[in-house]
This record gives sequence, C-alpha cells and structure tokens, in this order.
Amino acid sequence: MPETCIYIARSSAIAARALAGEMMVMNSADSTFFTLNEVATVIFQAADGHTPLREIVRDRVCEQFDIDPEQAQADAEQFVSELSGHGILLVSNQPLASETP
Amino acid sequence: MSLMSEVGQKAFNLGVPLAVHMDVTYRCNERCVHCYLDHDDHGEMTTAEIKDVLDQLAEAGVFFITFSGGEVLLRRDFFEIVEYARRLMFNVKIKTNAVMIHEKEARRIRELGVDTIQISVYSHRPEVHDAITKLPHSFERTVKAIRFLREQGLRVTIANVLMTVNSSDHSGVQELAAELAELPQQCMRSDRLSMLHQWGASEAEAMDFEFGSISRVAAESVEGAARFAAGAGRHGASG
Repeated sequence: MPETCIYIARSSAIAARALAGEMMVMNSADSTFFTLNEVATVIFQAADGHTPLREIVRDRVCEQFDIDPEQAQADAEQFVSELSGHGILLVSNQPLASETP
Repeated sequence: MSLMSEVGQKAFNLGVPLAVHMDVTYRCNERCVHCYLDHDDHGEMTTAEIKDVLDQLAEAGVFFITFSGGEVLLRRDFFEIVEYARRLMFNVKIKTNAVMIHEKEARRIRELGVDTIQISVYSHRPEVHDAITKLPHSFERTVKAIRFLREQGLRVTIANVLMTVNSSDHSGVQELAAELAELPQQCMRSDRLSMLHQWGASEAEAMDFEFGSISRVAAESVEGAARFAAGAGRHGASG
C-alpha cells in the first residue's frame, strides 16, 4: 500500500519573521503568537505546499540536526497537526497552491 | 514575562527593530484642528521606493509595521503596498480616518490579512467630530466604515484624542465602540479564518476546516438563535 503523502503550506493569515534562528509567527485572525524553535522553523520555512513533509524531514531536518528519522517524522507530524489547529499551516494529502495575500 | 515581552527583549538585545511606523503620504482629506501636518504636498516616496524600504525592513528583522500618513487610502497604490508587505510576512496595522473605506475596501483589507485598523473617532456627536475634522459628514462615513470592517471580522481600534472641545465625550465614544463591537465576533473571525484557509484546499478539506470551527462559535450561535427565537434580529438588529 503506498505511503500517504502530507503536504503543508503556510496560511495567508499569518505574519512571520525569523529572529536569531527562531521564527516568530502571529495569526492575525485570532492574534495568537508563537515562537518556533530551530527545527520547527526549518519545517515552517519549507512549507511550500508541494514538497511532501517526509521529504522535508529527510532532506532538511535530518540533514541539519542529529535526530532519528522516524522520531523526527513523528515529531514533525505532531507539530504540523498542532499548527494546523491554530490555522498557521494548511495540511493536505495533495499538493497545495502557495497562499499569497 | 509574557512571550511577547521575551521576544521584545531578545530583539532589543540583538539591536533588531521589531516594529516600524511608516508614513506613506502627507496628503489628507480631513483638516483636523489638532493635526501636526500642514497638509502641503511635500512629495512622497514612489511605490518602488516604498517596496525597497519594505525589503530592507524585512531583511533587518522588522515584524510589525504600521502604515499611516496623512490618509493612507489617498495613495492609489496603497493596497499594492499592503499586499507587498504581507507577501514579506509583516504583521500589518493601518491607521486611517476610514472615510474612503466601503464594503469593497473592507473586504480587500480582510483578504490581505491585516491585523488591526486604527481609526480616530473624536466624539459620539457627529457635529463635534465633523467640527474637529473639518470634513462634513465625516463622522457618518467613519462609523459606517467601522461597521463594514467589523462585518468582515476585522479588529478595529478606536483612537479618541481628547481636546477642550471634546473632553466630555470620552464615555460617549466608549459606548459607541461597545455598540459597534456587538456583532458576533467569534462567528465573524471563524468566517474570516475559513475564507483565508480555503485557498489551495479541496472543497472537502475546506468544509472540514469550516466544520472544525463549530466548537469555537457554538456559544455565540446558541445565543444568537435564542435571540432570534425571541424576536430579535428580525428587524435588522444584530445584538
């Protein structure tokens, strides 16, 4: 059975800026404010809507950080699910169009 | 210390200017008696120059940007500037007298993901407000604009500058603000979030997200249904 791909894209409702390697993210729709650690920042920056999450984890996260690939994938899926719940990331099993205001 | 305070301190230590206020024009359609601008045409930056400044600000780490003037909407390229700023992922706040904001402009502001719109209201009495702005019917137009913006679920801040002529009107303006805030905001914000969230998603995914908002709006929906059942709202009242 083929593995289900997860695609992620940044919502157009958010503002974001990197500060010393960590990403500040604010959702203008509900004023929630987050800071992402370095690993989460890498995933967030790679959320272009057409690169599968597994590829992001393999090529970006595991390349830059000393982390077990399966653990990284599980953590990434949990992180993506949380940010999706806050309307920060869009998640789909199909490629997503890049969101621009 | 709040997360925002921590980030502010970190930016300060790093010498990063976290917030910038940018006046994009000297021009204004009001002539407020207390204004520090002379309203003469001193020239203004071109669209390309402003975009270049925004590029530099993003590069410098600026996160919050406030566009002000003059009256920002007198620039024909204003929405182009805001769109560019949002593409650079700034958190955008707009200061405006709002007299040029109608339904179409309010919708565009929502689409662009603007965080807050700050609008000056000098009095709850139209004649006092208009005497300060020296623009006839400006009170009516400004309040109408606030309603359009609220209908889009946008966050509006009312600035109430107090002077001798309106010093007794502060509580009246507070009551006006409370009245303008009566629309069911969780429902409006959830609608706005769903609208922003739908781009690039399939219909099924968009509907899943929409249904996911039910828990957020349930309380307001039940209250609204009860009010409607009791007869409210049938004649245009939303509260």
